[in-house]
Amino acid sequence: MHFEYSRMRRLLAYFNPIARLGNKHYSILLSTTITLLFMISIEIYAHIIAKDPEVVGLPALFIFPPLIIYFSFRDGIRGGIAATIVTVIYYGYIINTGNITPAEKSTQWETAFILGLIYLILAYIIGWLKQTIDIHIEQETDLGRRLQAIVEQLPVGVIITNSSGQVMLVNKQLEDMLHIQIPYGYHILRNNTFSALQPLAKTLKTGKTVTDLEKTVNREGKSLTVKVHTSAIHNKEGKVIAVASIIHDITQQKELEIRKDDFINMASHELRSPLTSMKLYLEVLENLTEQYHDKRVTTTLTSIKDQTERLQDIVNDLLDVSRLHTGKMIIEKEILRIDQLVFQVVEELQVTIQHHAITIVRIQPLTVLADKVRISQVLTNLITNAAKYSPGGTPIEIAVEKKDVYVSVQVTDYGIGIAKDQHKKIFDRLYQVTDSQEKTFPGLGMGLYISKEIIKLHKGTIGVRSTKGSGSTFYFRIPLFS
Amino acid sequence: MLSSAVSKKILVVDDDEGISNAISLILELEGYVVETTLKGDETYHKIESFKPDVILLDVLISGTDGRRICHRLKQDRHTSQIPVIMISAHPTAEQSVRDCGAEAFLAKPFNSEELLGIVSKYAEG
Repeated sequence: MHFEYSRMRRLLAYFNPIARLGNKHYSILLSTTITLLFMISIEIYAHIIAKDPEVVGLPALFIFPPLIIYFSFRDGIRGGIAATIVTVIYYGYIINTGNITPAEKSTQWETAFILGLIYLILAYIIGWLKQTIDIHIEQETDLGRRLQAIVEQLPVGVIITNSSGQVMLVNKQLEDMLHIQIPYGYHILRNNTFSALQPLAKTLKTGKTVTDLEKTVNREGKSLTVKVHTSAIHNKEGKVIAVASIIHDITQQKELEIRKDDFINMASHELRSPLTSMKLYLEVLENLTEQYHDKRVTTTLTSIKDQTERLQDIVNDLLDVSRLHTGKMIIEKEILRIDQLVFQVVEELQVTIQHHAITIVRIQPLTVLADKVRISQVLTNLITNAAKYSPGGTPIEIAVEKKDVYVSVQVTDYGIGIAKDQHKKIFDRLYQVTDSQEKTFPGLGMGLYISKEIIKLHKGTIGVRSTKGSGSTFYFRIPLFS
Repeated sequence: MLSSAVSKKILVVDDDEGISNAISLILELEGYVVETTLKGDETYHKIESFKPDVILLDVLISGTDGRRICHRLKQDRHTSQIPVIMISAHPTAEQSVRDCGAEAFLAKPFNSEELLGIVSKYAEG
């Protein structure tokens, strides 16, 4: 940690050991003692060296004002006043011991009195000034120390440079992270070899706030993933005086994420094999029991098959999420008639969705370049959601239209609707609407996330218009094929 | 569904017991004679003793790679004539499967219809 004060401040702090000792008696004692020492030396000089008691007058007049000023400055009001009192007493002593007429004596007393008053005022003003400066410096030093302590305790790396890129402050966390020593005054722009410090250089040049994810290699050769926030510190006039960068090592977090994705990927693959064999056995069983014509057997088998199908869908969704997150989702585009695809999907879904009438309200022949399987998946997801969230068996309406250079597919339901503040969130990964009403709807919240990502891979957009309580319209747009 | 006309021999190589049993059950019900092995290395032995008409081979077999086994079978003039159908859970594995010389590819999950369709095509042919 390097936190430097200006030279002037350090100089002031040097002249002020009392403030650091915090001993008010000491300041009186010291100024009194030093002033007394000066008097004694003047007296010694007068009586022993010069052998003329009259000689003390002039040095006394010239030596004590600077002494008083010094003590006022050094120890504040207290020191100045102590020195003044001692000085005035000494003047009194000189006047009283001198061989002068009573008239002269009274004039000298007057002078001494006026001088004493001036000294007092001087001591007071200087002392007051000094104390004000002291308090100010103390506060600044305290602030600096507090800042230092906070920065040192932070679990992230912190580096602050001045406007020309010289390091003013850097904490241990950053030095440990990068495995280097960054000295005070180190020139970032000239010596920077770490990409973790690139955003800092960027902010130095542009003055703009930067948030970045960087891969960096430290001096030990370890590669790190860091999240960097950099912002400029401005003075009152708006000029950049410093740049601060906060560097967060998220390597472990990233590794965990990768491991989690690997796990989901592996788990869903592992789940697929038993599912495949289960489905095969079910088909065998179906064929074997066909001859009995027992309705109970058929119903039971159908239920098992439906549940297996559901499990299969979940596993497939899990796999898709993992593929999307690792960038392994493959989109195989072909030229296709979206209207025909919509008809096909609706027809298939109407078989399983029995309580809602799915109607196509508007449709026109339109061609797109898209992945047939994936677009059907999105549409299936939107329609099954529409059915799932309209418990009253209200109709579901589909519209396929041309909008500029896009084809727009809309799925409207008259179900429970979605509150406005959740319109964006529902497309997030694994987000599920959680309010008292929706809690009764099962699911892992993967469908809309997968749909959004699939539409994104088609350079399209997906969204929702909805009011709580009066249904929703989900729509997606993908470019028309031309 | 039991058909007596076919008594063709099918060898199933898959280390997943569930799938391999399900496959043999379906094929046996259809009248095929089925042998299974869970270990890739046993394939060559089994071929010698069982002399299958079609081989169903999983791409991912613990300890070895189904594609390597397929490649070796296709190199050997004694076994190169036997059609190999490869099974994989990766729909994208098809190209690499074709490269190793397999005749057909069956993507997981498949149903009994698809299985019987592809097996009969190569068993009869």
